[in-house]
Amino acid sequence: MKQAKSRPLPTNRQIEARFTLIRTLTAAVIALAGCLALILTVSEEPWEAFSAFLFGPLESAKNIATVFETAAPLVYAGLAVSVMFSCNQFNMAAEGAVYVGGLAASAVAVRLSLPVVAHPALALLLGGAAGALVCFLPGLLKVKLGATEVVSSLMLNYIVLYLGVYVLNYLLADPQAGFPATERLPETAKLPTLISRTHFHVGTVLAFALCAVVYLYLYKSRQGYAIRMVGQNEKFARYSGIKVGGTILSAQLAGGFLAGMGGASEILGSYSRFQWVALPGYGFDGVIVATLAGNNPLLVPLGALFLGYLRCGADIMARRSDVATEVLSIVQGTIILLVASKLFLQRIKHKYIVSVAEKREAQAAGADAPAAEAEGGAAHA
Amino acid sequence: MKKILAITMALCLMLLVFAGCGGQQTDDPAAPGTDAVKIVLLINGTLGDKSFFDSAKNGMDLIKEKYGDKVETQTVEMTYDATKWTPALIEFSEDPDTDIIISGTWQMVDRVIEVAPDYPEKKYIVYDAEVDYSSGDYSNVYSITYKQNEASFLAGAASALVSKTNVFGFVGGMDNVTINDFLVGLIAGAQYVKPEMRFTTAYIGNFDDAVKAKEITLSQINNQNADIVYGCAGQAGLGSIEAAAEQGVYALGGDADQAMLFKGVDDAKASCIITSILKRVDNSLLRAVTASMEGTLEWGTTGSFGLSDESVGLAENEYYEAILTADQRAQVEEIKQKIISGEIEVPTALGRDTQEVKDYIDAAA
Amino acid sequence: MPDILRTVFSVDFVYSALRLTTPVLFAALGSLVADRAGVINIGLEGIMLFSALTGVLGSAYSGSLFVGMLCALVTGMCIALLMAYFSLQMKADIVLTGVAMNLVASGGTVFILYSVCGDKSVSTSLTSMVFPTVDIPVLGDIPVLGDILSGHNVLTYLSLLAVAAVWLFLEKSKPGLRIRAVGENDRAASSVGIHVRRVRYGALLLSGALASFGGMFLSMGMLTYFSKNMTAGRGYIALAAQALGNGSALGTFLSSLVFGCAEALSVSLQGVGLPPQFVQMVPYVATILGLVLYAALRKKNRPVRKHKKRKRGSTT
Repeated sequence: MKQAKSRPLPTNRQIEARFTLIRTLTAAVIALAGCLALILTVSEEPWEAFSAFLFGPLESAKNIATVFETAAPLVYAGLAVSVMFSCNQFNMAAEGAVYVGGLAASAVAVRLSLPVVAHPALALLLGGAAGALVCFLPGLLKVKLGATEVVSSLMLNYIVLYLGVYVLNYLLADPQAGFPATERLPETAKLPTLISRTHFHVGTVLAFALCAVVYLYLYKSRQGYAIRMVGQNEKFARYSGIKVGGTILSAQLAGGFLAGMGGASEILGSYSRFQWVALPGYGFDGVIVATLAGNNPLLVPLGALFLGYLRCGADIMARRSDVATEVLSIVQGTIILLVASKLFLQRIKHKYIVSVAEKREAQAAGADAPAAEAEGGAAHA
Repeated sequence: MKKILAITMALCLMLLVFAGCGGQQTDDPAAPGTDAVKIVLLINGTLGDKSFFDSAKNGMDLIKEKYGDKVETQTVEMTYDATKWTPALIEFSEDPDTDIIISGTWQMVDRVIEVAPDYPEKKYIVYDAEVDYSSGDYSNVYSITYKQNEASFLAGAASALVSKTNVFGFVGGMDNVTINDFLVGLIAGAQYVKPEMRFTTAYIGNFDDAVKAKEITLSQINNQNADIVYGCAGQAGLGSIEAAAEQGVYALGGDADQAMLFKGVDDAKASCIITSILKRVDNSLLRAVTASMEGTLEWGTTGSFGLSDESVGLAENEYYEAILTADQRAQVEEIKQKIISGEIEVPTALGRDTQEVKDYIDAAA
Repeated sequence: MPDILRTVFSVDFVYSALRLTTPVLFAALGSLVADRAGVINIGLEGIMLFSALTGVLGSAYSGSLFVGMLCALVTGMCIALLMAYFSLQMKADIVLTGVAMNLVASGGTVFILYSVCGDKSVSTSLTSMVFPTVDIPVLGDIPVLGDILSGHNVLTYLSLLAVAAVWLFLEKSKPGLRIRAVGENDRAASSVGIHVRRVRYGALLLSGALASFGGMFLSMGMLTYFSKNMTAGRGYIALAAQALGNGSALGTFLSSLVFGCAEALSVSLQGVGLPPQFVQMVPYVATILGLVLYAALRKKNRPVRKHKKRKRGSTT
C-alpha cells in the first residue's frame, strides 16, 4: 500500500488534492456554522455581527492589507512547524523561538549601528539563529536521550520567556520609556513599510517568498527528502541508510530558524520597540497553519491567510458588535479537529474513487484498477 | 462530482443569504445625528480587568451621562493581540463620523503618534502614558499621566499605621517598571510613617496565575510575618486578597475599589481590604472631554494628574473608616495635604535604571 | 541563606508543596491512564480549565457543591470523549486534537464566563461552593507530622487516594490489564480479542475525569472563584510529571511531588536576592532536568537501546 501511495497515478493525486480542498472548506463551513449558532445565542444583533466577521476583511484595500500583515507571522510560524512536523517531531518550541528571534533582532537593532540593508539583514539572521537554537534543544534531547520532545519543548518555552524578560529588563531596557521595552528601534534597522498606513512591510513579502524556498528545501533537496522519509517511517528510513538523528536535528534547526526569523521580522516591521513580556502565541498558531496546510510549504500561505482572514473578521466583529473575539478560538479549534481528522468525509472520497476507477476500468480494460483499489484500501486502513 | 457541485452551490447560496441579511442590517444603525460628537474608546485588551480598562469604560459612561445626545460613545476591545491595535486605530481614524479617539497605556503611545499626524482633523487622547511632543507635530494629541506613586505613598502610610508586625507582603505580576513604581511609592510611604517597616517582595511572572499569587501571599504571611499584603498583579492579585481574608490579615486593593467588588458577595474579603489604590481614569477622561467640549483643552500637551485633582487616590469607603481609627485617618489626610503642597516629595521608579530601583527595593527587604 | 533553609524545612513549606502538588497530581494520573493505553493526552490543560469553570458555575447556580462537582466531572469527560471521538474514530492526530482542545478552552471559557457573568476575567460576582478542608482526628494531634498532613482540602486527600486507586486499577483490575495490553502492543491485544478502540475510549474518559478534579481543586479548593487561564500551564507540567513517573502510579505521584516542591521553592526563593525571572523558571528547569535525568537513566538500564543510541550518535 505504501508503494502505491509513493508513486500514485496523476489522476489519483488530483483526486487527493481536490478532496483535501473540499475537506478543508467543509471543515471551515461547519466551524463557521457552529460559530453562527453561538453568535445567535449570545448576540442581540447576530446577523450584523456575523456579516462583519465574514465580510469585514474584504471591505477596503486597507483591510485586505491587514489580512496579509496578520498572516505574515503565521506564515513564518506555519513554515517552521511544517518543517519540524514533517519529520514527525511534535516540537512546540516554535513559540519560544519566535520570542527569542524578536528579542535577538531588537538587540542587534539597538546595540549595533550598521548601514541600511545590512542592519535588518543581520538582525533577521541572528534572530533566526537564536530561534534555531531554541528548537534544536528539544530535538537534541529526543535524539540523544529519547526524551519526549512535546513535553520538553513546552517547558522550554517558559524558560526562554523568563530568560528573555530578564534580558529585556536588565540588559536592554530603556529607563526613559516608562514601561518594559527596549529603546526605539533605529530607522536603519527597520523593515520598510510598503503600503502606507499599514504594517505591510518587506518582511511580509519575505514570508510569502520563503514558502517557495522551504518547498524546494523540503521537496526537492536531498535533506528534505530525508526529513520526509523519517517523518513517514523512521525504521524504514534507517534501513534505507538515512541518518535519522542528524536529519531530525537539521529539521529542528531549520524550523527554529524560520520561527526566529518570523519573530525578528515582526518586531522590525510592525513594532517601534521590542516590548513582549509574554509569549506572543505564534508557535501554536503555527501548529494550526501547518495542520491546515498538511505540512506543505506551498499551502502554508493559504492556511495563514485563512487564519489571518478569520482573525481580522473577528476583530472587526468585536469592534462593531456585542460579540467577543474569544468566539474565534472555538472556530479555530473546530477547524483543526476536522481538518486533522483523516477519516472526515472519507466515505464520500472512497465512493468517488471507486466510481472513477470503475469508469476507468470500463474505458481501458482494467489496467488501472488495482492501483485505484489499493488507494481505496489505504483510505480504509 | 454532481453531489459535490450541489453541496458547493448550496454553501455559496448560504453565504449569499448571510451576506444579504448582514448587508441590510449594517446600514440600519446609523449615527443618531451627525452633529453629535463621536467619541471612541479603544481598549488594547479586554474589559473585566477590574482596573484601568474598566475605569476608562466607566469614564465613557460618565461622559454619555453628562452630555446625553450631544455625544455618541463607543467602546472597542482590541484584545491583547498587539498586531491588531494599529489597524483598529487607523480604521477609526478614517471613519468620518469619529471625532475623538481615546486610548491608553504605554503600549499605545507609539502607535498613536505614528497615526495621529496623518489625520490632523481628528483628536486623540492618550491616558496613562506620556507623549514626547519634541519628536514630531502631535498638536492633535493630548496625553494624561497619573502620579500613581502618590496614591501608593498614601496607601503605604495607611498600611504602616495598621500593621502590627511591620512587615508588608508585596506580590507583583511581573518584575517591571510599572509594577515597581507602585512598590517604590508604597515603601516610601510606609517608611515615612514607620522607618522600621520591612517589605517582602515577590513576583508571579504573569497576570493570570491567581493560585500562585495566593500561595506566595500565604508564604509571606506565614513565613515572613506579613500582616498587610498587596497583590499588584491584575486579576491574579485577587488571589492575594483571598489569602489575606483566610489568614485574617489586611490587604490593599488596586486600581478599582476592590472592597466594593466583594461587598455583599463575600464580606470576609471585603472587610479585610483596608483601602484600594485608585487610578481614576474615568474622572480624568471626563475632565478632558469636558474641557474639549468647552474648547479649553490644550491639545498638544501632557496633563499630569495626582492627588490634588483626585485622578489618583485612596478608596475611603466604610471599611477604610472601620479599620483605621479617626486618628489614623487624620494622619493619612495630613500626609495627603503635604504631598499636594509639595512638602513631601514622592520617589518614582519611572525613568530610573532597573538595577537602581532594585537596590532601593532590596534595601527595604 | 539560613533563613531560606529554615523556610524550606518548615512545616509550611511542606504543606504548601502538598497543596501545589494536588492539581498537578490529578492531571498527571489522568495522563498516566491515557498513556498506559498508548494515547498521549495533551488536552489536560483544556480539560482542567473547562472543569474549573463549569464546577464554579454549576455550584453557584444550584447552590450545591455536589452538583458543581458533577458538572465539572461531566465536562471533563465530555471533552475527553470529544478527543477520543476525533482521535480514535476520525483518526486525527492525538497531539493536534489536544492542541485544538486547549485552544478551544482558553477562549471558550472566557466566552462562557462573559456570557454568564458579563465579566471576562473572574467569576467573583457569583457565590460558588468550595470543597471543605478536613482535620484528621488522631493524626492531627501528632506534633510535626500532624501539622503537615492534617487540615488539607478534601481534594488533596482524594488525590492521594486516587494514586492508590489508579495503581490498583492499572495493576490489579481486569480493565486495567486491558489498558496495559493495548498500550504495550495494540495488535497483540486486538488478536486476543480485546476491543482496542473501546479500551482507549475508556482510558481517555477516565483521564478526563481525573483531570477535571485538578480543575475543581483550582477554582473550588485552592481559590474560591474561576479566573481566566488559571491553570497557567499546570496541564503541561502534569504531562512532564507523568513522563518522569516511569509509567507507575507511585512514580507519577513522586514526580508530581517533586514539581509541587519545585513550585513551593519558587515561592520561597523570592526575596533571596535572585532576579525574580530566574526564580520563576525553577519549576520548568526542574522539569527539563528531570526529563533528561530520567531519559539518561532509562537508557543506561537498557543495553539494547544503548546500542541503538550509539548507532544514532554516529549519524549525528
